[in-house]
Amino acid sequence: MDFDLDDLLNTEEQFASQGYKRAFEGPPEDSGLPKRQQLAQAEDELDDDELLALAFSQPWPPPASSAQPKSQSLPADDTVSKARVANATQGGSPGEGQLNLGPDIDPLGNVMDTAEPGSRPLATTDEVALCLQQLQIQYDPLAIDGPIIQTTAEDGTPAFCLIEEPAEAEPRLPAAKGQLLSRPISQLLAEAEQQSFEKALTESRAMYTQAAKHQQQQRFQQQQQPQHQHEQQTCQELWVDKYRPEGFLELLSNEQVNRNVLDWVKAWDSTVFGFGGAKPARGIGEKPAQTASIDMTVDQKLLLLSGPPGLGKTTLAHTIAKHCGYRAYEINASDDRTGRTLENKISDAVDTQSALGRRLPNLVIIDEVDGVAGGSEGRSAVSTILNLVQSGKDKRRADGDDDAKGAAKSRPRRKVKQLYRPIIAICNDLYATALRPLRIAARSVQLKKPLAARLMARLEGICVQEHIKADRQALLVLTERSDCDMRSCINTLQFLARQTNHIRVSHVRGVQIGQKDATQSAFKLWQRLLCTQGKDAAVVSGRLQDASLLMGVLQDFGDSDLLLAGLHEFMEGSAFTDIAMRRTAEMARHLQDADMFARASMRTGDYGLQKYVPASVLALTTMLAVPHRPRLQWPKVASDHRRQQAAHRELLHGWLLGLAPQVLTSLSIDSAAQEILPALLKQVEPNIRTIAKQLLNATELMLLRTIVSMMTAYRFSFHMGKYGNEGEPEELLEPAIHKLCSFQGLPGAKQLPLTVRQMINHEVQLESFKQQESVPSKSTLKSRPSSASGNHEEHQSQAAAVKLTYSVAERAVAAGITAKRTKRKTTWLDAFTQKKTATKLVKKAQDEAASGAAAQPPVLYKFHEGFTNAVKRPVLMSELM
Amino acid sequence: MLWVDKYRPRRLQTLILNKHIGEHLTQLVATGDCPHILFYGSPGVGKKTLVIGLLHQIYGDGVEKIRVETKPWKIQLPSRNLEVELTTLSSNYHVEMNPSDVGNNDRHVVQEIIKDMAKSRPLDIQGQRSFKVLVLNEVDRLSKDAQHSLRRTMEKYSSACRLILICNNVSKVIDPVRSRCLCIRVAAPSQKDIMQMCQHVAGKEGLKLPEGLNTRIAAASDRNLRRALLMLETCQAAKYPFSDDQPVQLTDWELYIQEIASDILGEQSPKRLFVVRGKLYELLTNCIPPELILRRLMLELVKKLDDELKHQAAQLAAFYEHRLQEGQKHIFHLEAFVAKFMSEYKNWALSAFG
Repeated sequence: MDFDLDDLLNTEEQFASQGYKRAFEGPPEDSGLPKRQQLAQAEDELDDDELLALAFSQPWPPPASSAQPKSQSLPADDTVSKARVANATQGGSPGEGQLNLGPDIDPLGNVMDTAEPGSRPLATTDEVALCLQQLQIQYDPLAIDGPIIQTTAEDGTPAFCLIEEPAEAEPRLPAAKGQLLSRPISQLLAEAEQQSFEKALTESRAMYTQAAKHQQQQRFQQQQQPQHQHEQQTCQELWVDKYRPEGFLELLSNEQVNRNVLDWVKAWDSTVFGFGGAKPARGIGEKPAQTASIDMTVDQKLLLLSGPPGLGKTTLAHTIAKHCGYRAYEINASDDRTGRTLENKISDAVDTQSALGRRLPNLVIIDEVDGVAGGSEGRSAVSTILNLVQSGKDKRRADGDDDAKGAAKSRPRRKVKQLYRPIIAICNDLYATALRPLRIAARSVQLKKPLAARLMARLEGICVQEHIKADRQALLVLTERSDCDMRSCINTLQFLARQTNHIRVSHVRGVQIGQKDATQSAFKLWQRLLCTQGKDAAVVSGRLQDASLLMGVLQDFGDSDLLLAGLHEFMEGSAFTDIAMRRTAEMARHLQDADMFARASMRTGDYGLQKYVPASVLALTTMLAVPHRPRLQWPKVASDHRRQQAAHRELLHGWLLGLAPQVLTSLSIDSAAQEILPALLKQVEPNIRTIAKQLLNATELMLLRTIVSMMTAYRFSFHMGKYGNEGEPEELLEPAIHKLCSFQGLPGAKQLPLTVRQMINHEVQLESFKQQESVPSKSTLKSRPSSASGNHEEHQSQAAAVKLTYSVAERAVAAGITAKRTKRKTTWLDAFTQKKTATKLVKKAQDEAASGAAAQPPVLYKFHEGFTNAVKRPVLMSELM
Repeated sequence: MLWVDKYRPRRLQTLILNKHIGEHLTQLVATGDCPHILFYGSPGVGKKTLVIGLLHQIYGDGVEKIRVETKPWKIQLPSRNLEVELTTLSSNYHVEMNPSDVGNNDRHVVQEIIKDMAKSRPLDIQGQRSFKVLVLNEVDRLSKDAQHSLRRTMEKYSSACRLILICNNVSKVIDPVRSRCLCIRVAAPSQKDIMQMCQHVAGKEGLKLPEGLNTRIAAASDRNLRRALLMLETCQAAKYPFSDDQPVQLTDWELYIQEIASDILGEQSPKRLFVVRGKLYELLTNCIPPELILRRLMLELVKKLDDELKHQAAQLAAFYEHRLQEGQKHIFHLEAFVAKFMSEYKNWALSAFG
C-alpha cells in the first residue's frame, strides 16, 4: 500500500485547521497509535506534532462505558459538560494549538483550575482516534475497502482514506481524579521514543496490510455473532435503522456540509454550557446569574437544513446533537404542529431538561418544516418559530437586564424571551414559499448528494455484514436509480436480500422499487433531456433502460406545456448539422404530435391520452440532445407571445366596442384585424402641409375632411405626445390600434408632424361634438310616432327643427365654449329638457309654418355670474320658456 | 366612413349582389314567420349584409336601434361558479352575439345564456312578430359540445325564438344543427361582379376608375368584396386620379407573409427556420389566424415554385392545416410546415441542380 508521510501530515493539519479543533476538543479515550508513532519516529524528530500524538497515544481515563467500543461515550452529567466547555475556553483562541492539548498549554494545570472534581473528559470519540491513527490517502475511493472518509489532499484534490479500527483495546487505567493524563508528560515522551524505536524498524508495510485485513474480518465476525443469535429479531429490523450512522465520521453526506452544521452547533456552546465560570443559560428567557458573560456568538439562531429526501438530514441532525452533548428533541410531522402547540412544545423543550438518565440540554429538531408550512396553520407555525428566533435579536439590541428579569417573571410577556438553545429545522424544499421568512432569518445549509462511490462502499459493507454477495454493477445501478438516496438504496437492498443471496444487475433491474418518484425541476429535466453525456449511468444501464427511466420522469413531470415550450425554444439554440433539413422537420413533427395529444386530452377530457405526450418528447429529444451540457434559459418567448396576443386582442375588442353599433354589426374581430384596420390606417396618412387650416388648398381640405370623418366614425384619434426615441412609433394612435398592423422589418405607419396631428385631432373633436349634439334631437324627432297627421307640412317642420338644432350646435362650436367638453354626462334631466326642446321646436316650427313668418336667428345667452358645479351649457331662451 | 360601410345596402330590396337570395328571403318572411337560417360562405361575400336586410324585413326600422352591451354572466355549474363576459348587440327584437369568443366555456354560454334568452318571449309591441331572433356569429368555431347543446334549444324554444347562424365553413357545423336550419349558401362574387361593384361605388363617390386597375383589384381581392372595396379606397388614398398601371396595395400582413415566403425559398437551414419562426410569432401576435397564414404562405410559395413541387406544397399545406386544427399551439404546426417544406425543397434542389 502506498503511504506518503507528508501527505498524511498535511491531511492531518487540514483536519485540524478546518474546524476540528473545536469539534474534537474532547480527547480520545483509546490508546495506541502505533502506526502514527512509528511514522513520527521515523522522521527522527520530535516536534510539537509528535508531542501531540503522544498525548493521544496515552490511555485516557476511561469513559462511562468502556463496553461499547464503537459507540461514543457521552457526558454523564452537568459537571461534565461544564468541564468540557471550560476546555473550549482555554483552547478557544485559534493561535493556541490545534487541540486543547497542545504542548504550549499544560493540560493538567488548566484543567485542574476549572474543572470540578470528578469530571471526566467527554465527547471522546473513537473516530478521532481512528482518523488520526490511520490515514491512507487514496484518490480512488473504490480502491479502498472498508470505511472511508473524504478529505482533501495537499494539492486540493479530493482524496479518501481508510479508517481503521485500533488493533485492540488496551486495558484502561482507572480515571485519575482531575487529571487528563495519567502520567506526567516527560514520562510519556521517553516512553514514546523508545516505543517508536522498536516498532518502526520491525514492522513493514506488508505486515500492516495483512493485519488490517485480518482486523476487518475479525470485526465482521464479531458483529455476525449477535446477528446469528437474534436472527429472528434482525430480520424484523430495517437495515436503514440497523446501519444508521452512529458517529460523525460515519456520515456519508458531504463533509464540508457536516462541518458547517457542526460549527453552528458548537457556536452555541458558550451559551448553552456556560463560558469560563459563567453558569450556563437555561432555556428561554432566563438570564444566567452572571449576565455579563453571556455573549451570543450565534447570529442566526436557526439552522435550516435542506435537501432531497433520503440523504440523511435527520440523521445528520441527530448525530451532531449527540456528538455535541445535546439530547435531540424531535418534533416531526406526526405531531400536532399548529402555531400554539408548537410554541408550547419548543418552549417546553428548551426550558427543561430530562430528569431521567443523563441530564443533557435539549436541541430541538423540527423535522419536515415544509410539511408544517401549509395553510393558515402552517403560517402561524412558521411565524411562531420566527418569533422565537428573532425575539432574541431584538432583546440583544435592547440589552436590558431588568427587562429580562421582568420577562422571566411575568408570563404574558413571552415575546421578549430570548432563545438559548439551538433549533434545527429540516425541510426538503428550501424554496417553498411558506418558508421564505425562515429562510431569511436562518442559517441555511443545503445537503447535497453523497458521492456514488462512498455510498457504494457503504452498501458493500452492509452486504458483507449481511452475508450477501452483490455485484458491483448491481450496486452501481442501484445507486444510480435511487439518485443516491441512501434510504431507498438500503431498503431496496434489504428487499432484494430477502429473495436472493447473490444480487446481480438483473435483479436490480427487475425490481421496480428503488426508483424515486420525485419530481424534478423543469430546468433539471431539460438538462437531462438535452444532454446525452450520461455520466457512467447511461452506459451501465443501457440506452433502452435510460429511455424508459426518462419516460417515467417525464410522466411524473406535470407541466407538459412548459416542457414543450422549453424544448421548442431550445431547438433554436442547439447546433447540429442538418443539410437537407430532414432532422429539423422530423423534430418539428414530433413537437406537433406531442401538442396534438395534449390538445386531444384537453378537449375530450380524457386525460389518459396525456401519457402519450412523453413519447413524442422523448423522440424529439433523442434527436436534439447534444453531448455537451447545453446552456439553457427559461423559455419565455412563447409566453411573451401569448401575453402580447391577448393584449392585442383586448385592444382590438375594446376599440370595436367603442364603435357605432351600425358599424359594429358588420364587423368581426377577424375581419377587423385582417382587412378593415390595414385599410383604415392607410387612409389616415394624408399629405397635408404643416400650415394653418385656413391656408390649405382645396384638395388638402378635402383630404382633411375625409380623414376627420373617418376618425370620427371609427372612434380613434392621434396620440398627442411626442414620439418615442429613435423614431419608434411607440404611440401613434389612440387607442393604439396601429400596433396590430406593425411588423418588424416593414415600414410602419407614417408619422405626421405634431401640428398636423393637432389640427386633425381638433377637427375630430369638433366633429364628434357636432354628432353628439345632433344625434339625440334627431332620434327624438324620429321616434315620435307619426300618428296625428303624416302630412307634408309636418315633414317640413321636422326638417326645419333639425336644421335649427344643427345651427345651434355650430354656433356653440364657433363660440369655442364647447371645445373643452367632449363628453357630457347625460342625465334624466337632459333627456327631459331635450325632449322638451324638441317638442317645443317642432311646435314653434309648426307655428311658424302656420303663420308663415320667417325663422328668426336664435339668441344665445351665457352667464358668468357666481360659481356653480352644475353642468353649464348654452341654452336657448325659447327652451326655458 | 369607409366605403364598405358607407355603401352597404341595409334593405333586402337594395341589394346588388346576391339579389336572388334577397328576393327569396323577402318571400320567406312575407308570411310572417321564418325558419332557423344558417348562412354560410367565405368572408366578404355579404352574409352579414343579408342578415341586416333580413332583420329589417322582419321587424322594420326598430331593429336598427342597436345597443352594445358587455356584461358578465354568472353561470352556476354543479362544481363551480363560472363567470363569462359576453358582448351582445341587441335591439328590441333581436340579439346578436359571438359565443365562440369565450373559448372553452362556449358550451356553458350556449346552455345557459342562449337558452335563457330563447326562453323569454318578446313583449308583443303593437302586433309585431311573436318571436325574436338570435344571431350567432362564427358558429363553426363553436366546440362540438356547444353545437350539440344548441340542437335541443333550437327545437324546444322555436315558438319564441328563431336562430340565425352565420359561419364560414359549413362542414364544421354538425349535421343535426344543419338539418334544423334552412341553409343558405352565399356564393363568393365572381370577378365580374366585383368589378361591377367597384365601378358602382366609384361612380357614387364620383371617381373615375380605369378598367385596368379595376381588373387588377378584382383579381387581387380573392373574390372578397370587402377586400376589393377596401383596396379600392386604399388606392384612392395613395393616388388620385387613378392611373391604369397603379399598383394595388396589399395589406401589411400579406406583405409580411410574402417576405417569409422569400425567406424560405432563399435559404433552407435550421437557422433560417428560426428567423421564420420569429416572423410567424409576430403574425400570430397581430391576430392573424393561423389557418390564414398557412394558406397565404402556401399560395405565395406556389407562385415561385417549379411545377414539379407545386402540388406537393399544396398537399403539405393541407396536411399541416389538418394537424393545425387538431393541435393547440399554432406556432408548432406552422413551423413544422415550414421545416418540412424546406426539407422537401432542398431535396428537390439538390437532385435538380446537383
